[in-house]
Amino acid sequence: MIRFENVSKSYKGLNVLKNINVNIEKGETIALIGQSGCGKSTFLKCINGLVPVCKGKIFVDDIEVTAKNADLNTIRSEVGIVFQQYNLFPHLNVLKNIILAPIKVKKIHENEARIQALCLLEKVGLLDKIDKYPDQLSGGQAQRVAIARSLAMQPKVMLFDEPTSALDPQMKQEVLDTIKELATDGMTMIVVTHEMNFAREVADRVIFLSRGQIIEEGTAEKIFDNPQSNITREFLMKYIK
Amino acid sequence: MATELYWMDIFENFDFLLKGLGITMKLSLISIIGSLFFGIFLGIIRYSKFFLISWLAVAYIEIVRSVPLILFIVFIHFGLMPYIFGGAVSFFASSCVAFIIFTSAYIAEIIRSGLNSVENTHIDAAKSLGFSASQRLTFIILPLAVSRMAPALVSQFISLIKDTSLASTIGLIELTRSGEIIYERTHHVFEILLFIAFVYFLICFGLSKLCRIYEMKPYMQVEAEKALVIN
Repeated sequence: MIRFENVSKSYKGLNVLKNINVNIEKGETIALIGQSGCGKSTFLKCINGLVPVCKGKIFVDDIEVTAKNADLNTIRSEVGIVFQQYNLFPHLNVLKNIILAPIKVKKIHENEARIQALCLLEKVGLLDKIDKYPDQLSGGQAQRVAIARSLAMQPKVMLFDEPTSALDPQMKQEVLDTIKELATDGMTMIVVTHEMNFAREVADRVIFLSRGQIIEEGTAEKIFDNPQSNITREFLMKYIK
Repeated sequence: MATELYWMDIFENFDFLLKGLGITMKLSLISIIGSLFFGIFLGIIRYSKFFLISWLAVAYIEIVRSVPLILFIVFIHFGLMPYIFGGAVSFFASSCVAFIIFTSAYIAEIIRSGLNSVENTHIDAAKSLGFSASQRLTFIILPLAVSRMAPALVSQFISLIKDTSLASTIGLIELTRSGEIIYERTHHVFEILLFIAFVYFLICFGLSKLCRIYEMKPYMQVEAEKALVIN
């Protein structure tokens, strides 16, 4: 579903991603872990072309994102991304946040988009917030609306960029539960996270990134219980007590 | 020394003053609408990443902002218009053109700074949902920018309304000029000018108050509605 071929990215001489090769299958849930500034966010943003790569190729569903003539708007409409800071549109209420893109980008009829939005809001448990504005929501609620907004585009892939880092512990759980449910539904997902327990529980595969390189990847058991590299071990020591 | 006030001057010449006020309002309204459209156009060009046209917009804005308004009005009416149309154009038409050219440069800068104030996070979110560049501008960037630009736009429009009095220099009989005509005859400057000042104040203060309501963000309106229900 997603394929990185020798991808490198540097900002002003700083190598953020170094020769990344990854292949992610349909229906897989990937947990991407690593220290802050190791290139996790850049990794995600390369997938939908928000950050252009310097070298290498990225494919989403066999379409090259990194091609010069790539139709980025179409690719992006098929790749959902959820940001750390939710990034809901502050001038639109919850319903409009969700239905705007399906109506304008996918040209779905408004009534159909509304019905779909209601289903999604029910799924994330926020049907009663339909006419609220983002400022009136708690962090956890806003993040679940952001997830619903991405899902409304019926994406092939969902990317989560530290979706719970800005939330306090009790709100974290409600967001993590929503993501867990998606994993059970068979959505292809990449979750950048610092929640190691969550990664262990949900991820089919864990990828550990350090200084722009993939140090280790494998099942959660393999990475957490039997890490091969010293760097991985050191990193995990800090997070799992 | 005059100790008595001649307020009757105002009532005796009320129709004349009203006609002047009409011209002032018409001139303001046309100039506001014209400069808003042209200003938005210029502002978006200035905001765009196309170097050449962006540079042209910069040049226009910088030149216009560096020249006094009164010079514009006189130059356009007595210089530019006869040159283009081969004869005199009405005072009103020249004034409109002068105000639109002048104010649109300021509006463009307000628009540009408003557009720039929209956070990258919102733009990234819009990109990620697959919105095209023009859709991002229409549905996300402009609505967010407009609510932030409103106070600056209103104060620019208030300046414009007051500046329309400068059109009196080329002979347009708007509110200020009608007052002048009256006190040149009666020599009761104090009463007439005080009255005219009060009329300008009413218009400008009213506009400023009116826009306070619109400056409220949507969620603030929701809050306001709630407060009404509770009270």
